[in-house]
Amino acid sequence: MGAAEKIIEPVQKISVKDAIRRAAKSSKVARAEGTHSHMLAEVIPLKGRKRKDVWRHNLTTDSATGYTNRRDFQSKAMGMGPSFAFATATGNATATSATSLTNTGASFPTAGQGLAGQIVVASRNSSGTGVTVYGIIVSNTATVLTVDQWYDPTSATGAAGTTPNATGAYVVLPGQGPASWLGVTADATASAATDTTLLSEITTNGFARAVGTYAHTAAATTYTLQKTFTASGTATINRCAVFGASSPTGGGVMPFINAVPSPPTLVSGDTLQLTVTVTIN
Amino acid sequence: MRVHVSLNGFYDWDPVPPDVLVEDKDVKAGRVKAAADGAWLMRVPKKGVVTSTDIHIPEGEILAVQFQDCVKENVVLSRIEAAGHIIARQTAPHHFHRSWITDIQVEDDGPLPDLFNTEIQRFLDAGLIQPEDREELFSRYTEASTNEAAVDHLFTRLGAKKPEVM
Repeated sequence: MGAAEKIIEPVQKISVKDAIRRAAKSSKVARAEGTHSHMLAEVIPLKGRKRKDVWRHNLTTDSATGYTNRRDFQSKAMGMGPSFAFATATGNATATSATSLTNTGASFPTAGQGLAGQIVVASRNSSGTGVTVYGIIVSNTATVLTVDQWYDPTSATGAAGTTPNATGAYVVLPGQGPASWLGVTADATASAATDTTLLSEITTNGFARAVGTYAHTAAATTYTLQKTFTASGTATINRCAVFGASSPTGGGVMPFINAVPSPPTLVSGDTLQLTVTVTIN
Repeated sequence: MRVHVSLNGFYDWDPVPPDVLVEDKDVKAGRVKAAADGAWLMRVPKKGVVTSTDIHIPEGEILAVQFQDCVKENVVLSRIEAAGHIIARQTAPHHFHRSWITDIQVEDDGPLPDLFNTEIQRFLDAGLIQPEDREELFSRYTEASTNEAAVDHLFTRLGAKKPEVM
């Protein structure tokens, strides 16, 4: 070997276990910017052993137009407060239906995304008649709020509540409803940051969109949403997404979407366990 | 059902530095998971930190696990046993180790019989659960329980030591 030659030693990498030990002793962490999420799909067949997939990074719908855009949703959830007050944010309805509330005297904001994603609470009328429910606004005009459904506030599953009284009081809250629902589809179209819906979302055989178990540890950088789907029929799961409303018809914000690698085909009795981890830096 | 787990440590998920080799065994062991743009996150224990994990379990998820164990394991769980499985199998591995648990609180509004009847129907229709098993499932789902009993069960299920009451 000549004197001018330089030996380049390969970079010695350490193991994950050693890296964890090192990190546990250090308070300094170089974190990636922004919010991102990843999803784990585990299949538990009726007969046989659990098949654990690898974690997959979720696509955030940052290029999506309309209020399903992840950044818009986050901004409103964290920053939109009393500054968004408007005169008819509270009043009495003049008509209601299973998915709407009308106030013919209202001037609901319609510029930009209007009130999409916000929560409206509807209650009793002046005679005390009616129930108290809430809805997540999916769209609105100047006088009509369209919600995905009315929710029973005592239900941890997001069960439907009774249609509120046609002349009941209402209040539109600032901020955004949470993105707590997990949904799946057999559609294999590649996910894109411009997506606003999950094409051909499955609504049968045990795979209907549902509220996940939420968990967060104070001071941790993540929270998890988890859902167990048990198949009562055959379904191939290609993609999953996180939503801010219960109904595929209403849609709702969709901040995260991803493909399930090696798409499993589940038959009746098999279980799909989804875990979404959202990292907030 | 809302469960509040008090801790003296927790798992945080830190970016894997560039000088670290991630192998399949790390993924399978749950030490790492995928992060953005092909990067990885590693599970770092943060001990000696007083904190807590809040877990909100929808009733539909409790029923899903009860039915799942009935279908696959032929085991009939109570509500708190199903909740214990959810926390032990699904939640805890991402948030805390059982040795860091210092207290558990349970806030539970009780079973929802109407939801049970709605949810079990498709299992009956698909033949996954037999009609003769329905009564036992319902009985265990609706059996009386107290928050204190629920806490005791969760300590046992999670393998944690319940603090002594002074």
